[in-house]
Amino acid sequence: MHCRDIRSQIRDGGANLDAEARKHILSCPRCAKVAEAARLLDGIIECSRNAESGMPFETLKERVEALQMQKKERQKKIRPRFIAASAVFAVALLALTLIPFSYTKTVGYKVVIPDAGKYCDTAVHQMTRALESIGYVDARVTYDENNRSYTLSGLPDEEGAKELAAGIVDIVQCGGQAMVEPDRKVLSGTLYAQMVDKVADKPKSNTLKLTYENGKYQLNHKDLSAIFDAKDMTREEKRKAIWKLLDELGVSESIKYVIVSTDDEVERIEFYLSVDSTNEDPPTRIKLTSKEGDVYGVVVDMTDKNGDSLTASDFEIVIPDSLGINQAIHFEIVLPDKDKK
Amino acid sequence: MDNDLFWKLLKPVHPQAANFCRKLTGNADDGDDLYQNAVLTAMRKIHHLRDINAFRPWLYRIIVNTFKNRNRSFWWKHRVSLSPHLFARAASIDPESQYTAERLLAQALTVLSPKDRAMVVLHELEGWPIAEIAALFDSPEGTIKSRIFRSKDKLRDYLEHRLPEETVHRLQSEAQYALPGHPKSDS
Repeated sequence: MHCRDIRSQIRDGGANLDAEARKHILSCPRCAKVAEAARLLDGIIECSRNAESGMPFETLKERVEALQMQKKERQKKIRPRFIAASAVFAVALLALTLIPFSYTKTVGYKVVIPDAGKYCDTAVHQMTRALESIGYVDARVTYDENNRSYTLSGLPDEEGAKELAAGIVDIVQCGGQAMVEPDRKVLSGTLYAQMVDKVADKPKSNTLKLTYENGKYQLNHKDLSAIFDAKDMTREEKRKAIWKLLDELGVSESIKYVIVSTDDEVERIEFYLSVDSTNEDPPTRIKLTSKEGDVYGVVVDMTDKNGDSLTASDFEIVIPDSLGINQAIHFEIVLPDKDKK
Repeated sequence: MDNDLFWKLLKPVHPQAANFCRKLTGNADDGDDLYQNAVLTAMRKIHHLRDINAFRPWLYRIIVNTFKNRNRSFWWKHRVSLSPHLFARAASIDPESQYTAERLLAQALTVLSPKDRAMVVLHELEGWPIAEIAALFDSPEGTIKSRIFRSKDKLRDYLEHRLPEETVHRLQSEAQYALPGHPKSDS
């Protein structure tokens, strides 16, 4: 008889073995151990089968009823505290959502051109019409007789206001300096409304414009040379500085990664843009690579001064709001090769 | 359903249910705690019981579920400890040493999942028929049978690997395996 047969017999019948199996066990220590384990299991099961005298019924009843009483009393104690806490919470919530507080908010930008009346007597309505024709439909123009200054208010963004200011000074040739100021208003609103307002006010942009003029790079009119040319900055510091800049420009939400890398010849700053949605008819199709190296026929409007090359010194990337692939798209700014300069 | 009716229904099943809890946990204190908690839960949920004739399986289901929930905490599984000395004592299976046997069984039962453990205890120790256990766990009888069979295999394995060698040698020479006419049968 084989060990396998013995074990099978033990599995099926426990420790009750036939004569042949017992004979085998006398000579096989391993099977003896298996048989002993089976006998032990049978034994301890048999032994444990005997009824124990468990917890008396009355004891159980007393304990359970006492526990129930305790629980009820605890609930009674907790209830007033819970009500008080709820009331405090409700009052705080009401204060947050119903009681208004006054606060100031920048509702737009205004351009003040002092002494412009000396040089130009353009009527207010003519100026308003001119502004409307270039897209500033909400803009208002006022003329101050006393100091002969024009004020153009209701301009939505600071960059536009600056461009406008420069243009007007150029046209009017007043020789003075136009001032761009935030247009602030005192408003009233609940704390919640103020919070919502602040979130909504956070500048957001879907446009990146990189320009290269007079040997300097600018990203949406912000000078990059301080970062690009800094010799004492590590790559990590440069990366952080670029993130900060992108945040100031309001484009950081559109960008997934900023990588600063250096190869043998040129230093590169790479942005990985996260673009949302596809568009059947995108404004311009260009090829950009994803972070995995896949090539996309894209989704972003990217033009340069000559209209054809990525390596041109001035190009603009506009990510249309309607897009939404949610893919990281990579473009890179290749910095001037300093050795070749 | 009021509390008086609950106690009335519990009284006839109380001794078996209390013992079942002790056997399930492996010791009296933990068993009594388990039973008490299960009874509290049952009392709270008694209005869910539609048929008062099904009180026993309903209570046992609550016991098994309470046990499963308690068993989820890691420390619980490792509470029962047993020294090799205890094995040596149990291996000689002194029928009077019920305490040793129970401790040994409690230790071995820790290798099983709470559900398998409940099945083995109900069938092997409490003497429940397979059909009743199948109804309790809402599973086919065949499934219950095979689970109990596999569980017993696991228990045997557990005991086998913990049996001291000298115990086996000693037992090998004992009369229980000796054959009639064999020299060892006289020793």
